[in-house]
Amino acid sequence: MERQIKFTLNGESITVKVSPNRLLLDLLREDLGKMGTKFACGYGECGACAVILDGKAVNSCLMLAVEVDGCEVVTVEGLSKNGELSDLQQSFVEHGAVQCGFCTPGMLMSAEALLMDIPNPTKEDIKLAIAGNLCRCTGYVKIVEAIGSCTKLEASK
Amino acid sequence: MNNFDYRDPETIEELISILSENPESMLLAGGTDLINEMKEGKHTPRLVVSARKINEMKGISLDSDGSLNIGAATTLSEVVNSPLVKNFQEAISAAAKTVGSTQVRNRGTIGGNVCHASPAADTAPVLLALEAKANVEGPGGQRVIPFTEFFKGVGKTALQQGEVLKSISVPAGASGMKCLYFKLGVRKAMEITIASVAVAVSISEGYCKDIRIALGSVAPVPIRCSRTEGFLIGKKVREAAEEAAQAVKNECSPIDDIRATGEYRREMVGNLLKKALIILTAD
Repeated sequence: MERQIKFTLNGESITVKVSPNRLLLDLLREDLGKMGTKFACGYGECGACAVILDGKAVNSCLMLAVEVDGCEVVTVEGLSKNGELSDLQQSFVEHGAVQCGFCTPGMLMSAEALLMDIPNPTKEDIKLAIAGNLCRCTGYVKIVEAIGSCTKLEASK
Repeated sequence: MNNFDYRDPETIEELISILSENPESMLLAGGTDLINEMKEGKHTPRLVVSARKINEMKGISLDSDGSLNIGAATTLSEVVNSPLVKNFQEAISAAAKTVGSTQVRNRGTIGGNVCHASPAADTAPVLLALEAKANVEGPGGQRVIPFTEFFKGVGKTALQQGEVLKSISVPAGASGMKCLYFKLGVRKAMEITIASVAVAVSISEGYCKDIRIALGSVAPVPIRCSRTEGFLIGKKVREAAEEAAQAVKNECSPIDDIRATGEYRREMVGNLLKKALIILTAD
């Protein structure tokens, strides 16, 4: 039996009917047009599906859509404003932290959630935050640098 | 996943009532194990009952007798970051931190970790070593089950149909013990434990006054090692560490699987115990 849920997606209020077995990942990608969030392993092991739920990074492939009723969800599409990349996204670009780009949305969401919680993370904090995000291309170094550099950007404002 | 009905009750009474009246229902907490298993077809419940609104199963507090109470539906991240837990007994936070990844810990719960009852459950050895208890509620009322009696087999606990783990209590005495948890794995995150050791000790002038040793991933359930514990009582811990490491190898029954051989796991629990005992007596 379908259930109506109401939640905030990137600041916008969404009301939609979902079947209980609908995964949040599928709702986002297939019903709400937010294809930035990626389906890779489907088992919560790679982090490509990471979104921010009530301020915390979570794997959307492990979440039933019905469970976000009343919650705030942020996807990668919610990072840029008025067509401009966020500082974090810009930092990824400038540091060469994007190769194929498939892990990038998940990495950005884990990083964004980290920066919301700890504005000046240590390298260890960053590594812990992205430990659940796999990258097959970059070797992670530039991703960690991009995130770390972003905090100085923020601090210098 | 198969289709199912979904309910999200607001009280534990309602939860218990729904679970007991619907034998083909399953409780959903964080979903980090359950959703995967449902995708695999390992579980096909007709009804999924969520704990998301049940505040009585969440939260961390100190009881009047000084024991630490952790709601079963408390996320592992909350356990990791809780100042109350860290001040009471840091090893509980440290063990919770070894589970999965940040994303997994933001949803996965401590109750889910123990009730899923993997032999590799990372919060179990520390809970065993600290002699924690499971506060269970069901249609027949409430009962308290020491964790030493909670795990019955691979994926099996002492919970009967309709019963839920409401919270976990760690006795006040656990706060004064030195406790360590070592998890052996190939990766630093998203790793299913190959072998693990939790040790909780009280040491006086180098002599062992009280000790609890718990092992993970080397038996069908997380286990205590009473013979090795008995051996160490009254001994100088550092001097007895090597013999204790040999003794603990005989108290487990590890299997060969895709991650490691039984022989390797057996060797490793000995090494991990020795390492723990040496670190615990470093000052």
